[in-house]
Amino acid sequence: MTVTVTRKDPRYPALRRGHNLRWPLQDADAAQRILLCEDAEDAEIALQQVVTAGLRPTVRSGGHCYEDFVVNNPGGAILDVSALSRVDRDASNGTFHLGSGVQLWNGYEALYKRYGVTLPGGVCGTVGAGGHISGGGYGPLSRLHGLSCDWVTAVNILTVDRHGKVVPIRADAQNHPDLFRACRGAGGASFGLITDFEFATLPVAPREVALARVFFSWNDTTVERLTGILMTFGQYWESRGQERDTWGMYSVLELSHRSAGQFSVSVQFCNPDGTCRDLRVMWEYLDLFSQWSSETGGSTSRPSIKQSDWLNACAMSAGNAVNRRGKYKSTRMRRGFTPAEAATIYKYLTKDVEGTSLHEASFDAHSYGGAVNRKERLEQTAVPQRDSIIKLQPLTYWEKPEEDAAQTKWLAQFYEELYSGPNADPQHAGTPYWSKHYEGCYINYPDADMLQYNYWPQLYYGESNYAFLQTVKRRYDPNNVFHHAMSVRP
Amino acid sequence: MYRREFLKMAALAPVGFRVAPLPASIPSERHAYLGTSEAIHVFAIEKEKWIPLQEVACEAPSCFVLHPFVPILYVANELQEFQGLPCGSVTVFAIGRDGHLSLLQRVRLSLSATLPRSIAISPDGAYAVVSAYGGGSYNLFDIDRKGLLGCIRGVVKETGSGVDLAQQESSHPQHACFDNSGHIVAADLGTDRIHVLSTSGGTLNLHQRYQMASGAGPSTIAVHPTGSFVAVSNRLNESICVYPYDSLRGTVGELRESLLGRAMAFHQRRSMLMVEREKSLDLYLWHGNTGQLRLLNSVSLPGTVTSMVSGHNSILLGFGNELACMSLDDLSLRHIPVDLPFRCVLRT
Repeated sequence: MTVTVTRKDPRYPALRRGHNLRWPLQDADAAQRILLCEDAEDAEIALQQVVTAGLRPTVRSGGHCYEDFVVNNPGGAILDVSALSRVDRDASNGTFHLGSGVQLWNGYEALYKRYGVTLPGGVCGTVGAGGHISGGGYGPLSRLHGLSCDWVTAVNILTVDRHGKVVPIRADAQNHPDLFRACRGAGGASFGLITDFEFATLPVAPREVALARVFFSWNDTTVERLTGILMTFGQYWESRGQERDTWGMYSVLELSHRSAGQFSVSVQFCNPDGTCRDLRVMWEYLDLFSQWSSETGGSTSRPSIKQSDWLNACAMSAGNAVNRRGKYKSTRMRRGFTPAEAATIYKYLTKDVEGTSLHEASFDAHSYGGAVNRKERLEQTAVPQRDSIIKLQPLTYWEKPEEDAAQTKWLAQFYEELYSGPNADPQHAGTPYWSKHYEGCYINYPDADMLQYNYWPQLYYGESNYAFLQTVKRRYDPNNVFHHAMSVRP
Repeated sequence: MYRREFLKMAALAPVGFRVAPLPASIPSERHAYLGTSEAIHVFAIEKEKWIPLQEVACEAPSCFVLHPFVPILYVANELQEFQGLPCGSVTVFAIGRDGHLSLLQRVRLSLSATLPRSIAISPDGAYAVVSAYGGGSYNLFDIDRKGLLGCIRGVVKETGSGVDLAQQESSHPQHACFDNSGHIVAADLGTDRIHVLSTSGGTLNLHQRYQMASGAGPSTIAVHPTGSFVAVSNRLNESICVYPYDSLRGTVGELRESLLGRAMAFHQRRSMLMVEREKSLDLYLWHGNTGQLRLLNSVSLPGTVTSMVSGHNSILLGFGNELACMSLDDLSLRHIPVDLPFRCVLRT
């Protein structure tokens, strides 16, 4: 039975927003009601009621959307599917089912405990499966096993036909194959309301993982030193990091702003067989950074490595559900960093902005590639970026609304300048447009600033892919019921 | 009015419908505004001659509407995208005493409200409803006392389609107007529906969907001043249909009358419906108590009409890029040599 929360309900202020407290920007932007659906049947009835009433539905599973795509819905209705949280396995055929409302941590835990398998993720515990998987789904095990969407074998989705009637569809490689492909990476909220994902099989969870972190002090970090660290990171993932024995390694170069005092490289590793029996690959990688480490003071002593079972590692990195104001950007990099890029990164991470503190700002570079770059996935999924070796996520968090302008401006200028250097394609300056250096952006890290460029769909959805997605859009959502600022347009 | 009727009216009246202020003086029949693809051309009218006054940049104007009390012009910008977002916009101009326009604001519509083609202002000047042809949606805006648009108060997003897959693949609201009780009636070319919308609860609500004949393609709608009938011009089957209407309840009844006609315009003060048919303009008196249309006169036209705009005592007729003005007093037709590829026109 769907629960309806309207403005008079004491739960409304909490439920009208998501994790990013910037949204809704003003009260008038907020949805008129939130419909909490208990199951897929509820969701179908609720969606039909909303469409019949002429309201715009937006869909929320985990509430982690970086932009206002869900909560900016003046007079409309948010369909909250967080209760669609089944995690089970069909005994008759062995197929795993994951409801779109499952929070990832609950998914990791249930899949591990009941079946010994996992999604190829491991972090972002409160993110909902609906957005995570339909937008691609990257995590610490993706280099070893691919993206979450690579493993999906069917999607159960509620579409709205040209007459305004809600039509449940089970899309797989044989039935509605185009819709199935589109739902594997082209982002949520463009084609319908996904209620459930099916997986014929899932990767076996690692038995254990090894964890380490190397810290660097900003006190003695010059532009030359930062350039060295960035180039070391980039060159590794461009070359050695794409060899098969390294695919079990996941690393994040978390370049915090100088006001945070230090930054780090973190590593999670397991051998391809899911054990930590041989850590030579990990040591080889860590040794590259020891010359700059604050802990070792430039000596040859090594950082400590801790080993943990997979579930505990997931729990440690599941993240918290604290709501904050935030702004995010993304880049998929085909090559490592250049000295010019490093100089820009140094400039902005050491820059202070009047009226706000950037101590929670960070320039995160994630290892990428490995199994993600299996070329056969290009035709099977809607993720066109299958040649990148680093995924960037520049981001910043802050507390007060009056700091919004300063924080977002700093990040926007940083990003624009980063892609206006020698590598920049003059026709696409200010963005990491597709070139020998870049593969655009990640739709699960949407950035509405990119709307200023008329080629934003190609940045996120790919150069040739977008026309295909528009065809799917016109066929399965002819009324454009499911839309937001960066959804696939008819 | 009996007490029961009063109570019924009070119960149905939309929340927040303001008492209308006294009208301000607006220059009358002295200026004309002509929208081309990228500008508005302002003309002074002197002895029926249109003298160019001003050219103001304005993207894709598709509709001009005046505020009922303050000298403000609202212009719909018929765009697929505005500021990178999938929506059209509305531009608001102040009208000077000399007819000149000054830009006041430009506001974007809600997401998916693309290609707006109609703006309706409530009789009390408190609300504007924009019909977005492309996105199948309607936006309700507040209007402040200076005539500026406020926030979007409500969005109705329609679904559906019609039999003509080329022109009716999805909802296409083409035109809307307020009745005298605060409801909005609208013509949806894509779904063959008349929509009745309400502003109750301070937002926009879909009150009734009235399904018309399949393939009709409603494109223009008018409410009789009595609030008892609506007339609809259907572009696809080239007909004019009259339906009983209860403005207190906001409900449309079964078809009362229909006749052939490609386009129509309504002159409210004269209760006159002007219908274009086969290169002639038929002028009908629209009876408020029966809804019947009584033919008053028929005038031959030099070509096919592409736009019709009712003025104070005249009607502006567009024939492609050509413009003419017909007097409703003596039915004389005068060519206006503007020589501009216009998209919309208004005479004040």
